[in-house]
Amino acid sequence: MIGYIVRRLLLVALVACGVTTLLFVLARLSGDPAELLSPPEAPPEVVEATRIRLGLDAPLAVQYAKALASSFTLDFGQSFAFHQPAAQMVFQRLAPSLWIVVPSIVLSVLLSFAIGVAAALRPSRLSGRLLMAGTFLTGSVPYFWLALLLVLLFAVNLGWLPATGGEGFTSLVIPVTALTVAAVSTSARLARGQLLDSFGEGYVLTARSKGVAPWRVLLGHALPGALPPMLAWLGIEFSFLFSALLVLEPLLGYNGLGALLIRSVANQDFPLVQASVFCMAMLITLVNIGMDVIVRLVDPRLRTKAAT
Amino acid sequence: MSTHAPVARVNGLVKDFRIPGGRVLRAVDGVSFEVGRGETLGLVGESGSGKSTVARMLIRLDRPTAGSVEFEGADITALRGAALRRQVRRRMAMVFQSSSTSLNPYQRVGEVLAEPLRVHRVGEAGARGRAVETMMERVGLDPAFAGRYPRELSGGQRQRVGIARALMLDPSLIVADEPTASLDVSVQAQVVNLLQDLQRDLGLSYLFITHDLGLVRHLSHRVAVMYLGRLVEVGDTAQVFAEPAHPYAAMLVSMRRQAEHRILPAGEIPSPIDRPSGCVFRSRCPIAQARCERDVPPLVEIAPGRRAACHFPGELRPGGTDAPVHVPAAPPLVAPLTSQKGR
Repeated sequence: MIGYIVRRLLLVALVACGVTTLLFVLARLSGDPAELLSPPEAPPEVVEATRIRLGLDAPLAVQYAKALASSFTLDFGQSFAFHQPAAQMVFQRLAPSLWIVVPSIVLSVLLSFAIGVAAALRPSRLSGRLLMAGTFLTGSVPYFWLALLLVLLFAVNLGWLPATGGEGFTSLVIPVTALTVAAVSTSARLARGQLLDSFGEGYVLTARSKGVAPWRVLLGHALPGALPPMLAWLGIEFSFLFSALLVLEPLLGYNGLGALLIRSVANQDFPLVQASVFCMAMLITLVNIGMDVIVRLVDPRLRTKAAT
Repeated sequence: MSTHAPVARVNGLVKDFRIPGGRVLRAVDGVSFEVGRGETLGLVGESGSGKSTVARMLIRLDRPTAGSVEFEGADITALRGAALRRQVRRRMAMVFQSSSTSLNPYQRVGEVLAEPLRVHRVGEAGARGRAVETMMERVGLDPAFAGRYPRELSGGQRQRVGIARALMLDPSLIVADEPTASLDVSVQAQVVNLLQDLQRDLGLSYLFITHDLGLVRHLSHRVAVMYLGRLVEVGDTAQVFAEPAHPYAAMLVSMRRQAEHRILPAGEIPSPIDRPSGCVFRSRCPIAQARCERDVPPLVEIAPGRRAACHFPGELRPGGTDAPVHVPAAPPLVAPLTSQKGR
């Protein structure tokens, strides 16, 4: 198990290098930040001076080596636009984003599990079908559109919630609701499908023939088999939620990592782009590795002799 | 074997499955039989004949569409919840065909075996552990295997776990659904011997489902032959194999005779969605007549203890004589066991 975790963590380093490389190439293809940061009518010498100040005059190989090194020192340099250390800015903006993502994950896991179990227990009854139709409906609603509707209803018309992301708990309600609704539908359907598959397993029939009570059959026999794909999906969902922040945060005027990234891309603020994407990529990778490890812990079939 | 005090009896069992298109598939159509105490009733028939569905209704894993199930003198057809667990789950157990899928891969062998005791609140933890150990030895498994997961065991060992699990609550009836079908021939013989030893020592009754005619001939006291959801013949095993009354039974038992005496059925088994009118076997029967298309032959007593559902019982007779009863070549494997791996 330890060896497995170490191997997975080595993979993180690989992902870090890959992400950095990709960002480096894309950033250099996207244009010249020195021109963007200089006044429109600035003479070429001024632009050149800016370029030197930003360190963009060095040979590409040197710039690339610096970028790679920054993935390990976590020092991404000064933001071009804000003149602050990029890593520090990202770190400050991470907490507000997590305040949206984590409650959304927790809520969607609880809800989708409840819906999945309820629907799996009565797959052919009307109530089970209605539940699935409901998740299909909510899954078809784009989360940003839902967020706008919620703003219109609860902020503009009713005035119960702030329309934009200020401070405090109330400004979280709309983004968390929109993301939870979006995330629940797929995972509820997955949970139902996995549980139904599991109910069809011979050993679930065995458990019933032993006289194991129905809720025990569900939790003790059907669920463990259904769990690994559900956990793996959770990792994927986490990355979906982060990508949704890129749209949702600017939309709701919420000062999180997503809004920061969108803005730094618009500014061609290389250090900031690199730091924020790196932060998201690492979080997503680590969460997915965490899920892999948990899956292995709950599934004895994946455990090898040497590892146990 | 005595049939005057049956441990279980099913009457007119019917099972319909709804299939897409609003149609109904009648998997089991009016099956009635009884299993005597200490008796092995062999239930034979082709795949799709409804054997397993009958077994699952008998053990109340499937709800019959019609008909009734009696067990140990009580009608258990409509039992639910606690009564079902007390009267059926505690007293009747099933051994499944595939030992690899019927054991929970997330449970260690010891947990698999202790769970029936735990859910029925039999004994406290220490006593359960000892009971598990005793039972493992009884079925020829090293008790050290209690800490292993099913996938770490061989097919034969897993099937022993399946049998041990079925025996944990000291049931009176074991329903065995092709328990040897997924095993190698030599391991099959060991498992069959084990089942016979357990029956002798514990006074168990078996409903033994198989399509292995040699196994039925060897193991069962009486045999019931199913075809397309109906029982076509029931009787003493030796008698049925010597002088089958129903043409389908005649064809089956002729397979154990010399090649020139074998009677091969015409065509394939029809789909249960589209069953022939009258006698379900008429489409493949060499002696079918006009009457067979009109009238459903009832399962009637044609001799004491012998029932057949045919308008012309005994008219199709295979030539030659039944093959000698197959005696498994494997040594009897009752505990203590010497050849298990991991000792």
